[in-house]
Amino acid sequence: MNAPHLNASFVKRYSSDVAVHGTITQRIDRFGVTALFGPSGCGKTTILRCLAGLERPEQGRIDFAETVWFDASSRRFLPPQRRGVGMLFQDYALFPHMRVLENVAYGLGGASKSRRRQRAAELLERLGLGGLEDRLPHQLSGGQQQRVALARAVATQPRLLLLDEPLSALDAGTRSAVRRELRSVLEQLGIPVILVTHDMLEAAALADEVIVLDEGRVLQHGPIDTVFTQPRDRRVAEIVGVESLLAGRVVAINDGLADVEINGVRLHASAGEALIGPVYACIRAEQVVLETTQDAQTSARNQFRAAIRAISPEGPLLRVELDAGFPLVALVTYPAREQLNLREGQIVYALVKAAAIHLLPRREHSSS
Amino acid sequence: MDWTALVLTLQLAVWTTAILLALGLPLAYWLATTRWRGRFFIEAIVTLPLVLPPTVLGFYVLVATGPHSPIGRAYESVFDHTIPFSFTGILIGSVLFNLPFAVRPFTAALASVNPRLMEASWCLGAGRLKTFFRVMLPLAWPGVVAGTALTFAHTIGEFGVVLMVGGNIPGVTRTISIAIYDDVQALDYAAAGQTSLALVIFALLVLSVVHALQRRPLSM
Repeated sequence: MNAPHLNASFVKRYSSDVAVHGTITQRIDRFGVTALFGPSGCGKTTILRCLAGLERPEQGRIDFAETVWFDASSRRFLPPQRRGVGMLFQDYALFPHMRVLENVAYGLGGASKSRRRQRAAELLERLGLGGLEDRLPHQLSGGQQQRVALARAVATQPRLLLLDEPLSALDAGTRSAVRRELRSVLEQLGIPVILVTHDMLEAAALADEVIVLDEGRVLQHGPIDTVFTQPRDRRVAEIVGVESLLAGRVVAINDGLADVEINGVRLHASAGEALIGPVYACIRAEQVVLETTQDAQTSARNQFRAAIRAISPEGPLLRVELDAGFPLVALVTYPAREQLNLREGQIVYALVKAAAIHLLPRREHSSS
Repeated sequence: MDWTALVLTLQLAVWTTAILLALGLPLAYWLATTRWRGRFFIEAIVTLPLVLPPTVLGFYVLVATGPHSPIGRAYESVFDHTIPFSFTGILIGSVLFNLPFAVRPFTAALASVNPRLMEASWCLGAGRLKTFFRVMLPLAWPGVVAGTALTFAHTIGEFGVVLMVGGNIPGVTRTISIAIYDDVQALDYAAAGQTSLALVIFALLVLSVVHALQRRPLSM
């Protein structure tokens, strides 16, 4: 690899049977956001902390361009002070006894005190926090605290930013506003980011690449569109939360009903907020009804002609994978399969109510 | 009021407190932040002086630093007098006896600081020393002051250890608590009463300050 990368591959053990295997590769010479994504307890925060130097793995290696941050075989370990990472904690960890300016200037070294304060003030201004210099952390709103913590983390001009569930400490209302802004703030700062989240909305809004984790292992990684819309297996699909997650575009909205185009096929979905442009359409498998003939009486707004690709058991039900011009998954009972005589290759009609299709805003990626 | 005894007692208290600040804070930092499984054992050793009779502690100090011990002999060759029955002797006894009164509040105070704050400080490039002085101590100061005040006050009131190790030598090891004991033995209740009352008022003042400070934890 010619371009400088963060290359990490390590194992952190907690007991004889609990271990976290972290594997990450990311370019550090340009901006990019990678999300470590998975359910709670999957080890994503552990991986982040190992990258920061706050935990020490038992095996493996972490290289940051030519600098060795950790190497188990030669017992090398660089403490967090020397890694040049900016860390944003879930609860922000602002120093409660220092004012905002002092917090942000904390990591700045060298130079005179007034020079440091000036730099901190400039940074606060850049992040839209001008005027808050003399406040104490508990006098700030959640969103402001998060911004100040971010300012503090980037003041030292780190080469890598690590964010631990950056939005989870915010209340739901603030969260959606901040979610939209945070991506553009990160783009402006231009520092490569690795963030941890269990929230699909957060990952979709902020990340370019995603690494899906479960029980301490990496299940899948890649560009976010690919991983979310083409989960490698059932477990990844479960973690992502939806069996059918499709990338498409809203082309029109009328009366709370959106026209979504996916791979040339038109879908009708209920749209709560006014969404135009790129979206993810989420269709849960339980809400897909299969019929062998076209149904003129149905109230379902979507009726797709589809070919059955595969049928496999899933617990007490059967999982039917379909190709309707886009991949679709349905769950049917055994009696239903008998009744409809479903078999691979057969053409069926998949009915989905508009209300069963959920739309999420999607960021257009130049790579996808 | 036996002023010699009072001055001696104050000297003992100041020195004990200063030494316990210098030794106790690093120990407390370690106890508050280490993940070592054997920590409980060190904590037990630190707590020992709380449960042992002062005479037991005094006895062991005598044995460990007496003229027949290696420490005692080394000291005597340099300073020309034995450790027991000297100010040095009661100082050693006093430091050991007050260990829990300093280290336990220090440890509790440092442990109450959110560990994320320390980690944030490290990620910002600050070493452990800078983190201790700029983040932990300012946030833990009520507990540290409480431990310091308690140690000081407790030293003033020491009796058993000082008597065992120091004997009762006026001007050298005769502290105020021993002076009161002597007064009572000599049936001088007036003097004993005066001194005792002064000590009670002093102790009450210190404890009031300690408790008033307990209400001030800063957290986020």
